[in-house]
Amino acid sequence: MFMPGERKRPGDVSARNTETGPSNDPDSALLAAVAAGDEKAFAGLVERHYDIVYRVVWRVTSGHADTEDIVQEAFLKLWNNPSQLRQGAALRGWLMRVATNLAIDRARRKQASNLDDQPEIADSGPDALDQVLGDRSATDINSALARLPERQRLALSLVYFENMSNIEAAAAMEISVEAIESLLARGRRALKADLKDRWRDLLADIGGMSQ
Amino acid sequence: MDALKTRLAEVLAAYGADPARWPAAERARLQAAIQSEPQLLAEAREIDLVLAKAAAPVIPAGAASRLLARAGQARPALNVVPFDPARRGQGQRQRSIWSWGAAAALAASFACGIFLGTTNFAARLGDSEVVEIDDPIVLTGIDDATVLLEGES
Repeated sequence: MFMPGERKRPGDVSARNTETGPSNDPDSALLAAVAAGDEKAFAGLVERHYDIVYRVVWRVTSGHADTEDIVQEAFLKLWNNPSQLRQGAALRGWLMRVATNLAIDRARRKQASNLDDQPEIADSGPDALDQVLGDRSATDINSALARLPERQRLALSLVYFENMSNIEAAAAMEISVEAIESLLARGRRALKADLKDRWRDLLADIGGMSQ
Repeated sequence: MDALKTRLAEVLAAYGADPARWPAAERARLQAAIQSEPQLLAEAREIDLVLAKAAAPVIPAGAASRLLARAGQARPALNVVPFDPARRGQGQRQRSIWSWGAAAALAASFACGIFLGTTNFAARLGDSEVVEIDDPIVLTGIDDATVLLEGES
């Protein structure tokens, strides 16, 4: 379970890519209560899932300021029509799917109207300031991630940054495990190709030169 | 062995160098072969390091509270009526009146059916009634339709 305020980092070794999804289903009771209009139960679901949905949407939108609004919209879809989902085990994947679809739709609408083409970094406190001013490597990597196709970025976000299993990520994206593997491999390859001119410098900066 | 190496290359390319991210069912088998592919392992590790350097989002303070406030303003319309014990007896009384009325109507129609059946009431009524057939459409095909309609002169 992911507690509010807790941040999973890619280096975490606690999460493991297992072949099975979550074995328990603590969200089912909360979902049933939400279906009866229980605001406390809805608050419980928000507490359990808000952060991970926010992080995934933030990565899919490349840190756009709309992130919070998109996440709100996804949760409100559940609140306004809770009967569309009965299995608690499917909730997290459902929320991510709805939220990322909303994010992708918004991005495409904005591109189509030629308004606000450039990603706008959401105000997220000191980290955002560091990102802009202090850490060029992180900025370059984030920019390269933002240039990846949406589905490759989403697959990397779920499996790499959120430590979801391949099965969980495949369920969230409604694709096969093989398709997830393909998206991950292409995403990683494209990231390296995009950053090829700076690759050695980046690794030197990180301290991870392999040769 | 070639199949194992091919699969190891695929897994490294997709999931990176950390076996913790690999599919659990294949982990042990692939880990045994990992030393045979030092170059692939190093390349995967480099990409892992670069990804780990990416900026992480910070959840804005109060974001969940703002969502809950918005949800409070947009309560879903429920199809559930709150249970009211005071209305329960009233509902039962109303139901009993209606159910007695329906039972009486059913009993009356049952008695009427028995009466009509046992007295051959419909047959007797039929004997005394004259059925008039004067519709040309009904009579079409009958040889003496014209005579029947115009009457014998």
